[in-house]
This record gives sequence, structure tokens and C-alpha cells, in this order.
Amino acid sequence: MKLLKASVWIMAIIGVFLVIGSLCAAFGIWDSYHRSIFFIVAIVVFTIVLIICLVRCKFSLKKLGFYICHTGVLVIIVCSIVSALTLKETSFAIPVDPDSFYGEVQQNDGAFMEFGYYISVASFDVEKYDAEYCLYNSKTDFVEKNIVIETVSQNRNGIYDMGEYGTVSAVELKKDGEYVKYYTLENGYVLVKNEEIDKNYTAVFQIYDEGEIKKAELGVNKPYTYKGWKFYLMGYDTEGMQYVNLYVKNDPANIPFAVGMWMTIVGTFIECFLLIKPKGRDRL
Amino acid sequence: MTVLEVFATVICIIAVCSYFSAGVAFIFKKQKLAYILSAVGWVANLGIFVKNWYINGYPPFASMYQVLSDISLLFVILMVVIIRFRADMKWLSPYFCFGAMLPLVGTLFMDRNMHWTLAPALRSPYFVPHVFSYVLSYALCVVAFLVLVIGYIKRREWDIYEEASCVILRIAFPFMVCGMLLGALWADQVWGNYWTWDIKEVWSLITVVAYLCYFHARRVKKMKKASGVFAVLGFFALIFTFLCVNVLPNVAGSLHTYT
Repeated sequence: MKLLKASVWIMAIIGVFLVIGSLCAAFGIWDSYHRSIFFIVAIVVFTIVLIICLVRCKFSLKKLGFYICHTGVLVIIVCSIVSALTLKETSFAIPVDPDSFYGEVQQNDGAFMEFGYYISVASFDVEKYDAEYCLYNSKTDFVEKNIVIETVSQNRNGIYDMGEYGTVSAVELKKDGEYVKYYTLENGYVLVKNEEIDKNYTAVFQIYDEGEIKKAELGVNKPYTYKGWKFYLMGYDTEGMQYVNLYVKNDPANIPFAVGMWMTIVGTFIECFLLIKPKGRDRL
Repeated sequence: MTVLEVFATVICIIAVCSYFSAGVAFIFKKQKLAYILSAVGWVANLGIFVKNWYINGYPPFASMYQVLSDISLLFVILMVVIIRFRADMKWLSPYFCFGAMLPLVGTLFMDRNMHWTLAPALRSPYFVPHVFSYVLSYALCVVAFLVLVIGYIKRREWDIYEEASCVILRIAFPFMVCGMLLGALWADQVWGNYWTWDIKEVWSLITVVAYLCYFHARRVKKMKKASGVFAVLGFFALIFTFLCVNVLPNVAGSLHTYT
């Protein structure tokens, strides 16, 4: 009972600290609140309480959920410590050129980071959404006053439907396969194209190691891991598409961290759902 | 206003009125009528969901408007499931109906972005389970909060209300944890870090911590009476996470600005 009480207190303290810290960060007063000694001490105390709870609790199948989720939380905490101590990471830009291979990249502090093999980006592709247009009363309204009547998107039938202002098909808005910047409707209203939005982008990533070239697709939600290094596609040169921005990390705690999270999820489900017992007859 | 926008508004109003009438019918013990009205409301609500999916071409869990419409859709399903499992909680039906009505009323007063372009980062297998888990837990937390408040006002049957609220939160909580941690797993896939101390992440953690305090305090004899305070604080944290975080200053750098 004392441990439970202690856990409530320590969690409440952590909660209050996070509220204050996050609000301070939001107002630009204190950005690194989560690195403060107070927060670290609170997490250490929380971890100690958690370990004592796990050790003292006698094992039974009924407490399976308790064990799994509490161990999961412990794994997460340990992994975050390991990660903080061992993580190697950097962001860099790399040219889109199948023949330019790099075996090391320079970090922000000037030091070089070696992968143990060579990397390159062979090609890069961006998929865009169908263009969105803004509807204006006239060209004067667009140029001088910028009064937008509405923003119009293409519907699934390939039509830009502006209700009372009329309709226009996507085919009419395209010239040489590209959406035109301006389009004047028969009734004099003007459509002006908005900046096109990315739907997705991917790169063909190459690794030269032990005399052979391996190819892999890098995407926004598709990192690629090779010999402990995990590569992420973060962005690209929007002007000329000459280079892409990559982020790379080497984190030994990466997979155990995920295991800890899944343990917490599964354990919480077991713990919470086992305690709900079916009952009959309405009580009120 | 296009035909589709008019249609969306009309079915939304039908759903709101049906849910409200169903809630009233449940209070006056007109069970059959209440179930029919709930079903009508749910079908209209489903119409909004299908319309959002059809227009955008992806599961509608991206914008605030879409998510609020989804939350409403879940109340009636949850009501049926909970009543089937716990017949002693049939009396909670009106709370689910009024709970279903609230988010939809909200959508009537907001920009209902008919077409919402999905950012590349949101194109992930984690997208639907992450948002769905949160939506489900939020819907249940709304009901749990309403039950707790009404129980506090009524006083006489406090124990029954408090227990019902706890049962609902027990169902909600694993989904909330699941939503948060799936978000972390997704963040590692897309941004390269499980946790970045982004304001939305921190507030989702605060919400989880508040509910954790509630569950733990409820098991301590001396704290049981006060444990409801944590549930209420948890709900306020939830509302802040969902609606208010994005209006804070310095939030432009947040990784969650498109939500």
C-alpha cells in the first residue's frame, strides 16, 4: 500500500512538472525542462519504485498483465538511458547522383562519421497532389486585393466544382500535362493555382559494400537499416531536386525500445481488461 | 456552398437531432424508440464518415473535422458493446447518446475542409491504428467524465456512478496507451526518434500520467475518495491535448501542427 501511495505521489509530481515545463517551453521560457536535474531525479525515483513493485509482487497468472506492462515501462526507461549514452546521429544533404559514393559524413561539430561502407542516392522522385485553385472575382481582385472567394479541389470525377460559380474539368486546366497557373472562366471569374503539395517522395538508395552494390528504396515512412545504421529520407531540394536530406542514426537501443513499447501496450490491455467482470441486471 | 457541403450539413444535423432525441428517450425509459433513434443517428453519422472517405480517398482520420466526426460514430457502437458485456450498466445509454452528439455539434461550427490533403508523413500503416485508438479512448473518456460529474451532482448513488466511470476508463485507458505508443513507434519510422518532447506528445503523456494516478490512487484506501480528482484532471488534460495545444505560442515548430 505504501508503494502504491509512493507511486501516485511520484507520478503526480512528474505530471505537474511536465505541465509546468511544457507550458514554459511553449512560451519560450524554458526549452530544456526535460533535461533538468529535478526531472531526472523524479524519473530515477519513479524507476526505483517501479523496480521495487516488480520485485515485491508475488507471481501469479492473474498478475501477468501487471508484470508485462510494468516491465515494458522499465525497458523503455533503460533503453532511453542507453540511447542517450550511445546514440550516434547526424543529418546531411547528399547529391542525387548514382556515381557519387560517400563513406563518411561531416557532423554539425565538424567531426566525421564513418559508416564502414559507401552510400549514394541513385535517383529521386516526387509525387504531387492534383493542383488546388483559388477562385477570385477578377484578376484585379487577385493582384490588388487578394480576396479569395473559395479554394477549389478536384473531385473524384476530375472536376473542379465551384457550385454557383460553375465547373471546370481538370483536362481543361492542363496544358502540356501541367496545370496552368491562371484560368479565366466563361463568367469572368479567375482561378489561380496554389503551390502544388507533395503527396509522397522516394529515393533509390545505394550501398557499396564488400565489392557489391545493394539498392533499397528510401521513403518518408520507409527508413532503411544496414549494419546498424538506419537511414531516413527527411526532405529534398525543392528548387532543383539536385540533392536530398538524409538523417542517419546508430542506436543499439532502437529495437529493445520498440519491444518495451509493445510489452507496455499488451500488458496494459491484459491488466485493464482482466479486471472488468461481466455482470447482469441494470443497477439504476 | 456545393451540393456535397449542403448534404454534409443536413446529415450532420439529422445525426445530432437523432442522438439527442435518443438520449431523451432513454431517460424516459422509451427503450425501443431510443434504440431506433440511436440507429438513425448512427447511420447518418456513418454517412458523414463514408462521405469523408470518398472525397479524400483515404481513411478520414486526418483533420480535426474528420476526427470529431469519427469520435461520434464510436459512441453508439461502444454503448452496444458495453451493455452486451455489462448488462448492469444499461443506465449509461443516455450518456453515450449525448456524448455522441457533442463532437458533431462541434463540427457544425467549424471549417469542414471537404478536401484535406494528406501530408507524406501521414501515409503510414500506423496512421489509422494510432488515431483510431485515440478516438476510441477519447469517446469513452467523455462518457466517463459525464458519468462522474452527474454522480457528483446526484451524490446519493455516488458509488454506482464512480464504479461505472472506472469501468469505462479501464476500457479507454489501454487504447489511450496504445495510441500514444503507436505514435512513438510511428515517429521512429518517419522522424527517426521515438520521442521528441513535442508539445502534443508531452500533453498526451500528461493525460496518461493523470489517469495512471487515478487507477493507482483508487487502490489506496486513503486516496480512493480523492482519486476522482485525477480522473477529472485527466479529462481536462485530454481536452487540452486534443483542442488547445495547437493554439499555444511557439507551437509552429511542433511536429503535430497538421493535426
